[in-house]
Amino acid sequence: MVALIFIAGWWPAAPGRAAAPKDEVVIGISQEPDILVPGLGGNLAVSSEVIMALFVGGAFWSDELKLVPVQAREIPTLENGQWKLLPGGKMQLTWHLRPLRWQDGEPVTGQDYVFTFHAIMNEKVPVIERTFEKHIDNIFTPAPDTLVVTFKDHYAYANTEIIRWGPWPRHLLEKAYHDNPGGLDKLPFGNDPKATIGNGPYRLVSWQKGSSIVAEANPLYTLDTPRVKRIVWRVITDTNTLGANMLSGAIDAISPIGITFTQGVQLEQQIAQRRLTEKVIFTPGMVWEHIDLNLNNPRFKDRRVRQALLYALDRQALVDALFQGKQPVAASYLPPKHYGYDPSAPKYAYTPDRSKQLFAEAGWTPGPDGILRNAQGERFTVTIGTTAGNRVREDVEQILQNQWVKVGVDLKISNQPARVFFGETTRHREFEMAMYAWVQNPVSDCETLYTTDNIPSAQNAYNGQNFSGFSNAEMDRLCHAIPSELDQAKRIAMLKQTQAIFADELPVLPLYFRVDVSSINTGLQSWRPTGVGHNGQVTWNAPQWAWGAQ
Amino acid sequence: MHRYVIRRILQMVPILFGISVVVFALLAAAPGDQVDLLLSGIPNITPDDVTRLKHVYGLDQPVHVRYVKWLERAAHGDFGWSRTYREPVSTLILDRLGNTVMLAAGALLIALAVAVPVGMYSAFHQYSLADYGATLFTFFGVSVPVFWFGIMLIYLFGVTWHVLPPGGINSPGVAAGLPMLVDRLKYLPLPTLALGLVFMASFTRYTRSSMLEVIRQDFIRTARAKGLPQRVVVRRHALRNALIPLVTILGLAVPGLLAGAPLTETVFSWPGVGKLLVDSTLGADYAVAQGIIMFIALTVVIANLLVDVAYVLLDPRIRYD
Repeated sequence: MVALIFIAGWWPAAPGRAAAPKDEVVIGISQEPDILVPGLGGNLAVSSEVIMALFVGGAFWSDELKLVPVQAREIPTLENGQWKLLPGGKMQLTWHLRPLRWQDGEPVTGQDYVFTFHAIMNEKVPVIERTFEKHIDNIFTPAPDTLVVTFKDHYAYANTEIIRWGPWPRHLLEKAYHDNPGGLDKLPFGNDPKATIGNGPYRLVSWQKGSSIVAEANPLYTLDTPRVKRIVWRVITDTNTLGANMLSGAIDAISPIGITFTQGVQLEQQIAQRRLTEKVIFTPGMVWEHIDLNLNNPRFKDRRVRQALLYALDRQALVDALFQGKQPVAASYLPPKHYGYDPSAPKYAYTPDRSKQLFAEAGWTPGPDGILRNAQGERFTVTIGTTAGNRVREDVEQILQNQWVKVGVDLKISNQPARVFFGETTRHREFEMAMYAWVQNPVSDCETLYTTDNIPSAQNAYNGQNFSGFSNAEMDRLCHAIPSELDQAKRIAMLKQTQAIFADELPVLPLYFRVDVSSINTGLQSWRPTGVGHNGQVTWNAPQWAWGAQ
Repeated sequence: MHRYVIRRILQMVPILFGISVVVFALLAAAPGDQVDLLLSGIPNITPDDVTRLKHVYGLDQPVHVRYVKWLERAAHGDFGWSRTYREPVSTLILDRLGNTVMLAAGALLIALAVAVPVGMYSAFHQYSLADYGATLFTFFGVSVPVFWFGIMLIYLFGVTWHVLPPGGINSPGVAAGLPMLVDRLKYLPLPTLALGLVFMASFTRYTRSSMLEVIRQDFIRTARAKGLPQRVVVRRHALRNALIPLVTILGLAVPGLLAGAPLTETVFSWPGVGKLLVDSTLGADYAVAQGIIMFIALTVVIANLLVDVAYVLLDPRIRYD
């Protein structure tokens, strides 16, 4: 053993910051992709991160949440005439494609997009969600570099992509698809580097499961010129070890799918102590931490009680204490980066007196032990649950418990493993308070989260996501209307209305928005995390990454 | 002896069948499946999507139907498909098993290489300073949490001194074959040491106590009375007898090691079977979890059989008729 250690120490390739060649970027990730095909697989964020370097489509979201055309020459809009309204409530978008080739030299044409669309819409193909594609009526190619997409209805987000998942190489997958559509995710394509033919700036050259993924610049990519020759993703599932790898210089960056916020803060301190050249980046994100109140619970039926609960929380003190104020307090279900975010929505600043007054109006007054009681003498005791083992959420619970007891709310904590919590408890609405997060995106709205028909029930096989059970006719109308409103100004106005209803009714208590934490060696340039999850991973501009002065 | 072995092998069939039923039922009874977990991460997934996916994955079928299908395939060597890793379960387990065997073998070798001589020396020099030192070391080895020890090793060798990689199994992009094997030698020492420490400590204790018992036996006294040199007494008479309890412990340890060491594998990002079992259970990848548990069950029954056979080889007094 001792001999081995010394031998290892003398090897020139022993990890150290001096050994890293600067024509590659080594990124540490704490999860491993499941499959490297857009749209297939478990929709893991880490899969999207790698996929975005290997495959490109019509457009991406940038870090400024602007749509950036990639293979598309420009984004169709009503103004430029490439988005037309048709009789009968239909519409049509025309996309012009820039020349591009698959890694095997075949051209990427409109037919690839058409094939992918039909495959995605096949019930047997295990694509996770088809929210976008369900609006599409037809897709055809009048010329190899032109795609015409007709929509069944007015769909506001129609120009965010040609099709959400795609394109897939028709010339490689068509036969397998026709032979066995349900087996598309079991092909070597997306798993075996030799069979995974993409059209992106990088090509997959090696995937050692459980250890690393290597991609090299694709010489046939014509939409940009990758500055860095190789990207290596190292799978380091223990996040403490991931941080140690950053400190040791064994990796050049930690992906936003890497360490937790707390570990990011600790890493930042260690970097400062050791005077290293690395830095930690906190990017405002769209992941929204909140508490669902089960509105079937008699205690939460009165809106004043829900408001009183929020007035009693000093959320600013919470984020200051736990996150050094780097994760902002949430006032709405939409993040500040969202185009429809309403900065004027009520903030429910910490006002314990107002909280007590609202509780009193709702019939809850302090008993001899300080805990609220109603006319029947029932104590205001409620139970909160979250994912057990999530240290941050457990810390938040402690603070909630301390803050609420000051106004007479007795909070019990009962956490469960994530599988039980999401697989059973929230799905069947078997909770009083449930604390978790939603991953919002640049075009998120309220249609699946706060409409009556999405309350989990036997009718929808308990598959809805309106876990609090919120039902409001005006909210239903607005939330269903927003995705079909093409005028962005009107859509923003409607989103503001939903936020006003949300803030008034408070079916859910907003807590804070998470930030994406990543870390890089300061010599790495153009590392621009988006904070928007699946829809724009940090690799959205991978060809522009470059090494500069450290 | 042969009849005994054949009878034991035949007994494995109903045992493994029973285990498969129980494990399948328990995994099926666990709340939530892979599609349910998707719900928590994708706000715009619709109820229709969830229903469709459950149908595509066969998760909407009754448990007994799913079990019979699994059993039919398993009887043909097909243990299913991992939805997380996109590989046949058997391929996945075999891939990870190689990593686990490498780690386990390294840990056992280190443990035995240290434990047997130290245990023997302690026994022959009972109550000496060295014996107290060895006892102290064994307490440390048994008491220290492996994840903490692992992180400390990473901190010292990887972060502070930069002499060994801070986790991982090999350098990315290294060619398969000999270059990869050589490369992996850099990654092996730390996890091996972390995992081996606890075995080293317990094996030392067993060797010491077993040796103490043996050297007080009459046949050792007789061997010494015959004028045999100490090293012959130790090697030929004491050690062989003292190893019998250690073989039992090894027999129990090997299936556990082949089932992986989840903590060590997690801390060092070593893609082994133990970590795979934990990840697949948490991720509701039932096919993988079922496959690994069946593999563990198989190794346990085989290891027990081998230990029983080893007794015969080590101790001529033991016979199976």
